[in-house]
Amino acid sequence: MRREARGLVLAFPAVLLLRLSITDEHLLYVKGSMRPWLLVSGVLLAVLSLLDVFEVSFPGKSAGAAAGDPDEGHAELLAGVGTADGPDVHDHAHGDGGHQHRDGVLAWTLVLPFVVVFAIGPSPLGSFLAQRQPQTELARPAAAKIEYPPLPDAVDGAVDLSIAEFHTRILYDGDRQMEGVRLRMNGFVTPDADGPGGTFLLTKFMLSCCAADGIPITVRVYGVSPIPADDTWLELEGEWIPAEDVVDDAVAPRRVHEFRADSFRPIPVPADPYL
Amino acid sequence: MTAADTQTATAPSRRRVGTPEIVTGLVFLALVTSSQWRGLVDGPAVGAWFTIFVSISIQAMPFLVLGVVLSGFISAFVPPGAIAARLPRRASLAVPVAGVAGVALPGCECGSVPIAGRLVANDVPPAAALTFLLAAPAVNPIVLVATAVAFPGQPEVVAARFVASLAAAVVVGWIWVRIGRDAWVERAKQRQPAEGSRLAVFTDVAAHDFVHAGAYLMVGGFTAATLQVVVPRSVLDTLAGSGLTAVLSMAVLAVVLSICSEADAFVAAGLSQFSMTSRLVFLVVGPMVDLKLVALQSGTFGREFTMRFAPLALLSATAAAIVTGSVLL
Repeated sequence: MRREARGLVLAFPAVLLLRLSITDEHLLYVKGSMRPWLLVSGVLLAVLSLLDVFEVSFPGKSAGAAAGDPDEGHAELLAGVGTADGPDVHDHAHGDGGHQHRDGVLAWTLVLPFVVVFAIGPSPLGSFLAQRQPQTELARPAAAKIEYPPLPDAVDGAVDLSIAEFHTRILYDGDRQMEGVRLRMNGFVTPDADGPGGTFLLTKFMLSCCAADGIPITVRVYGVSPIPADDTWLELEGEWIPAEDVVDDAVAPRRVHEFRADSFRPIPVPADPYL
Repeated sequence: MTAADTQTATAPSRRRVGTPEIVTGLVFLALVTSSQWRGLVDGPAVGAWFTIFVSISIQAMPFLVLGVVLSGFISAFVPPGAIAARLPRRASLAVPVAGVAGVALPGCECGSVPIAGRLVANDVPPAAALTFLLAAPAVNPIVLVATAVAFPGQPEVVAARFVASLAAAVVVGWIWVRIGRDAWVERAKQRQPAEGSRLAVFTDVAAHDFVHAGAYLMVGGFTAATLQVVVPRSVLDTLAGSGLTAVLSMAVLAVVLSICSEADAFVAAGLSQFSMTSRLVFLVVGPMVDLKLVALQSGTFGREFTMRFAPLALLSATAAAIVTGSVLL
């Protein structure tokens, strides 16, 4: 691969990383904590790309030995990197045409994420993937419960809670503080295939690192009618439908947590659509 | 892309309009006309595929950049043979040293591939470089801390992960000492950096290694995204039952999901329907063998290499995890 071609290849991931890290768009693909690293690697790739595209030579090099630089071999480097046409400069010095050709073409796959993001645009993980993963959760025995900090104060008559905290409080809050409290949660609509009818699953994906490891966290919702289209984002207000605590560890069942909504409104997709 | 292929094949030299111009033209065409064709690639499955593909690529890039920066640094500032000279002369002793040295590379698996390639080019015995390659992503402090956070109150999981990963990496290294041939890593060996000022060598090697490994990362991300979208993960639930099936399906899951080693512990923690030993298999196999990693390795070392190395690593990782798991967990 010629040096300027290599520089061009590098430009695509560089521009992509810069765009994602400067805007909030990275939140669709990775955890927010990755942002500085995306920015740093975008800048580094951009520098490498510019050096290659403009075939920048380093001090002392273009003047070569004439400039009295103690390092030798600059001319060779320039000659090798600057003018070698198809063949990769370092690889395959012994000639392996198939490899060279394939790698040269393969290198252009680095433009694909750029094309996806710039030309097609965002589509956060949604109900399609959520339906393909298990929705239930192991109920914890009473012995596993702990003391939980008090619920946050209610705003406009309801306590704001993420689906994730809703789950962990059901599983671990020994005082069952959520019982009888008006809650507000958001997420998108996933069909409830195993439900009793008239329900859907309010869903958000939880990421550990990136969208590839996303796990859907769902709550079965009663009381919304008609059920909005799949993947519609909703904000719900209502109450937890408490389930009995499990006593015996050995028979801890898997179950779906349930919620009765008394009001709902569609909301735009949040900038950070994940947990 | 086909137009680009033909162009390269028929006119390999001194052309003005080559692959770069064609690809750039196609990309701009795609951007300008996207409103016309975007509807054709709509739909939930395609959208999920795009998001997973981009997220695997994006998430790996900082680590890959770290890897190629270190690899450029080694080429520019470490004289050939200097690292090899610090290792024990006997390859069978150099292997465990290299494995323990993996503790010092804070990153995940994408970064360690270009570094290992550069170590081989720098005359480090391949067996030692490969042990480093396998050990570094699994035994470094960041990954161990992430594992401890994902399994609170279960320090034995962290210990088991460390022991099993190091053991698997060292065993692979020892086997490679006996059976490995230089011809299999020829591709990495041939990659001698050009001479020049240190800055020139550094940037050249870093840019080269990034393009090289990055392209294979795309192939891996492509495959992993496809499998994730095509095969529902709930299929796994049916496999969680018996001991051996569970272990094998967790090994397969680790290979398919291609999750970064810093994140895999959280996924393993969520797979509570599986036994601890089978989840340990997931944690030990994942950083050593997965789709994006196999693609990266074959880009750096060649296909001859990967055909032998990946199955060897998969076997010894699975075996080490089963043994360690039955003792410690």
